Amino acid sequence: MNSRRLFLKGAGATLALPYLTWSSGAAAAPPAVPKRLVIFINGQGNLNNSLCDLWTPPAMPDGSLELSGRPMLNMLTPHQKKMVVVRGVDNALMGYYRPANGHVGQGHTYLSASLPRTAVDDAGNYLAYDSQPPMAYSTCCMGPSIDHFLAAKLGVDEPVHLAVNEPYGGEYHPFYKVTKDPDGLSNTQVNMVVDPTAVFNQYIASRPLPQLSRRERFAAKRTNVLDAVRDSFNALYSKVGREDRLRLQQHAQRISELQATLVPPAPQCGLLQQNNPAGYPTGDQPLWGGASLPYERALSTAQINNLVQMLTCGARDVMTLTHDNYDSPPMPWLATDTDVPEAERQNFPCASWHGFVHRSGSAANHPVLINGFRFYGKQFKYLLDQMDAVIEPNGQSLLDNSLVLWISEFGDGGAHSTDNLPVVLAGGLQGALKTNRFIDLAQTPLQKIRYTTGDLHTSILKLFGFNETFGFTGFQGLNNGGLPGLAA
Amino acid sequence: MRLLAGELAATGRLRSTLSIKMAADILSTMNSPELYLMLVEQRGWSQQQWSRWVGDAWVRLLSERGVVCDDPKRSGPPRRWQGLMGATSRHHSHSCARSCALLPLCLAWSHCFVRGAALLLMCACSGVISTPPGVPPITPVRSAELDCSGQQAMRVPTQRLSASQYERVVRDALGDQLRLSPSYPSAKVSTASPYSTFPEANPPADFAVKGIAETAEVLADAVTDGLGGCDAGGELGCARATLTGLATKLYRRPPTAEEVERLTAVFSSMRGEFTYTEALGLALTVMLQQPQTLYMIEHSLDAGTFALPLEDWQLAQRMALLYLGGLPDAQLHRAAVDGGLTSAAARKAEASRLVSTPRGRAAMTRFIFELLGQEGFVAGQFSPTVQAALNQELAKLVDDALAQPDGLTALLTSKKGFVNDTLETFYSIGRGPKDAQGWREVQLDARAGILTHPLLMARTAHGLEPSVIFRGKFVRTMLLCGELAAPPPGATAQQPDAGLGAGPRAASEARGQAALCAGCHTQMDPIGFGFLQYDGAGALRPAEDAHGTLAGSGDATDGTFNGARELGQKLAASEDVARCFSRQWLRYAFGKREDAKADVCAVKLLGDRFVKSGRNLEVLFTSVAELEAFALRRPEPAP
Repeated sequence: MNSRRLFLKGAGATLALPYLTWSSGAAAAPPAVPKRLVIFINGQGNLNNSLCDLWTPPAMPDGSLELSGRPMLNMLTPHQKKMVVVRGVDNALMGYYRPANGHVGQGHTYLSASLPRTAVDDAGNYLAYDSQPPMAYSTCCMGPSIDHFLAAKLGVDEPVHLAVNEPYGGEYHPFYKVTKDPDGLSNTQVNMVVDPTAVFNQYIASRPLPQLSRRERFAAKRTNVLDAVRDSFNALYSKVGREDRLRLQQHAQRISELQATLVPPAPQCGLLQQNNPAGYPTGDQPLWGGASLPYERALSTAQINNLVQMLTCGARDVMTLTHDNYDSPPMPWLATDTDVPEAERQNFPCASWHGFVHRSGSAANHPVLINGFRFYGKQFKYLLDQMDAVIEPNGQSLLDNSLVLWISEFGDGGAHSTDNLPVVLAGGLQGALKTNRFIDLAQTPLQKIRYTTGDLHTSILKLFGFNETFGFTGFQGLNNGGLPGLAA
Repeated sequence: MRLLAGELAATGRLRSTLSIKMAADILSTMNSPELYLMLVEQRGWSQQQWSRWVGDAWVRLLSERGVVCDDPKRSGPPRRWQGLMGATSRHHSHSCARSCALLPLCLAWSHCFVRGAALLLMCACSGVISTPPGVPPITPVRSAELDCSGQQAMRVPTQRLSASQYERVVRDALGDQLRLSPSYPSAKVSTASPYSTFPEANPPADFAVKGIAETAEVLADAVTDGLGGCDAGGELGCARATLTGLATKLYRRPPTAEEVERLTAVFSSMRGEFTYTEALGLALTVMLQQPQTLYMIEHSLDAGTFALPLEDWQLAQRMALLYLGGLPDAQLHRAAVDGGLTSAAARKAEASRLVSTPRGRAAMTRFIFELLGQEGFVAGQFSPTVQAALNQELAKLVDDALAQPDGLTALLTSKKGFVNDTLETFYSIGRGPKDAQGWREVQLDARAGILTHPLLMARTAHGLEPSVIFRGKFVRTMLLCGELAAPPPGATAQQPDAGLGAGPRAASEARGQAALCAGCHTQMDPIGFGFLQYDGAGALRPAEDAHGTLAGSGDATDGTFNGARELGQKLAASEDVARCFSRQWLRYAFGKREDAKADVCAVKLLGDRFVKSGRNLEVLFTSVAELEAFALRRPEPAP
């Protein structure tokens, strides 16, 4: 059985579980389990202009999802039945404000689907494009990001934003609260947390320990107790006749079946302990910036573990995890990654991942670029693996109870393009999401509808049961009421 | 049918594509009277043609490769099916001929037991007193025609303790204040398994195992604080001693060294995370779910002998569960330790002592309680207070009958009632002086002992409307030991319509004219008429015609009667009823229906003693322990 116990052990946590519950019988209503939203982000898009065929799934006759032939996504094949890949979602706000450069506007707006503060005057009136000041790094958006908006709708705690490598998202700030800054127009920005230990201590370890009764602590040992009981049955078989043996075997079989239904309730945060993965930096090693890059994989693992534990133990229901490599060397460890052919390991022409992505026009750079994007795919897979390994009290996995969005601020970072953002949805959201689909919404000359990030986030709201439009809709074509084909 | 399908499956020759349930369904279908009547009566087949065809069809439909008996060494059917053959043949000879003309085929046994059994099973026919599958009847054995001088032993199935037995064992072992959790599985009695002591009434269903596990946790948690401490450094020895003591009680015998080590290992594995007493509590959680605690186990494989003597602790276990409903008391335990239960006289004396104790009488009352179909039954007619009072009254009636020389007659005819304040109101009688416990004895003119007790009247009614079927069936099966087949599939839907507003007699008459129904209902309904004067709460309805008929026994019980009191008198006068009553006690005591061949002497001997005693209940109850079969066990073949 794929148990929570196994997962938590695998995820590097030592856990004293509270009591085990029996999973619900057919006649009983399953216990309520919250629906969660996770947003997983990598910077610089997916190069869907130059490497499109390596990411975009093929169109299958039945509309199903087939990832095995796409090197940048094929590591997710084990989860493809719980996934939806969408092509053709644009961040369409670019024409309505003046960016300072090719990054800040894109990064500020893709999760909020809202205009930046620079696009309006102090009274909130829209300024003509040429009248707008350039959007700066610190410019806030006039709307919350989808994660904060949803958390407020759900009435749960504000999301926590985990990050690997950099805490501020390079030139962009995608996360905005539902509350406004003093100007009454901008929404409050929220930074990310880059230190896994700090995350654990603040959001997991500090939560109060549950007070379990002795009966509950006894119940936590049901598996061990029933194992011992079954052993006692087994020891008797050789001593009784055929009919009696059959009767005892039936009883033991029922015990085995009962054990298979044992499902632990959500573990209590205060009982979890941090257990850092191999390669985790020690001492005064920096946790972000270029010096942290040798530890990137361990830090990513630790943050994903934090994220899953926080969801599992109820610390948060909405969270984000951002892989940000904007100004740092382009994954120098790739040079020693055995996935990369020896001849290609020396091919690192730029000092940063951002710069390297801009060299995507050269086919000679593609193998290493592909491995960089595959690294993000592997991290996303690890996230899904861990979420799917957690069996919750309703008998479904954490992944089945959640919606996981993988997105980036660009479609093609090398071209600063916000068209055709990489959009992957995973999980089931308790049956709300229709999975195992590739939805191709890319524009063709005959198509008039341009689907946007406003549509994507509107659909997310609908999947969670909130029938309302998300984001700025002041101009035609920014929102069509959601993406088609997502709802089950 | 399921039993027989299971038999076939056990041979390994059941068609692999069939489940036991499917096989049982096929058996039921092929065995249906509709099929027989269509082919024999409507299409003109001879009985021989029909039976040959059915036998062939069964083999083709049920068996792998269409052959059931491919073992040339097999000379006959399995024992159970052989018993069926003989029993059914006898049965058909006098009561089953009209609907089931299968008797000639019962002689066709040659090499294929399925073929033979198929023929026999046709007699689970509609509406005729008949042998349920796998339940060969024993006609009352009254005379010395049976030679029972040889060694007598019964094969007793390993049975899970009933809920009441388990609770009593737990209370005796761990503390009298303990009670089982509501989730603990209660016995599921049925016509085929009428007592909570039958293994089939306590199946290891999913909910049962879960309820047992939850109950064990609650019980262990409740007693953990009292499991005692231990001096530092000697924990393992202390734990071993404590667990040995607990196991000795719960297992109803000294545990083996291996069993103690198994429990000690549980303790040790938990000790790091739990306190000393808590780790003991977890080991107790295991113990409360072990088969040694849950089941009455008497190991005995076939050692080449016909019978094996029970060990002393096994005798004490049997006696304690039967006469005390729980663990041996100190005297019985001492008798077992001293080897004082091996002689029949000693067991009889010990049984007499136990029956005379309050717990012993309560255990006997439980038998009567279950005889009346009360196990697991909650009457909607009664408030909890009235229900509790009626239960107490039943116990007093049993106590009173135990004190009478002819206890059975008292049970079936007595006008005595026992009332407290609640029952004075319930019976609509005036207040009167009571004893220190708040009870007094009264005469109830309409009462016929337990026959008209409100508990039984409620059990055999549809709400307040009496059921002539249920009441007739109770007398026919529980007091006359008649065997009635289960209603054929769809019987309720095909019930003849006697017309809107038809009374019970008209409805019964319509059933009597329907071939599908007549056989059984003519055996039940005419008896049930005698109870028409009692509603579903046992209150008198004097305007009702209560003339009934009792037929089919061929003795003094046959004939007409007017009302339940006259019926009670007839039943009390019948030796067959007395022998049936003793047989019911035997079934309850051993948790099984008697084997037609192997157990016939136990049935006879117990009946003889009861009849000879003048139907003295104390003699009946205690004579079971005196039987040689009580102290012997027929070994089972090794798996």
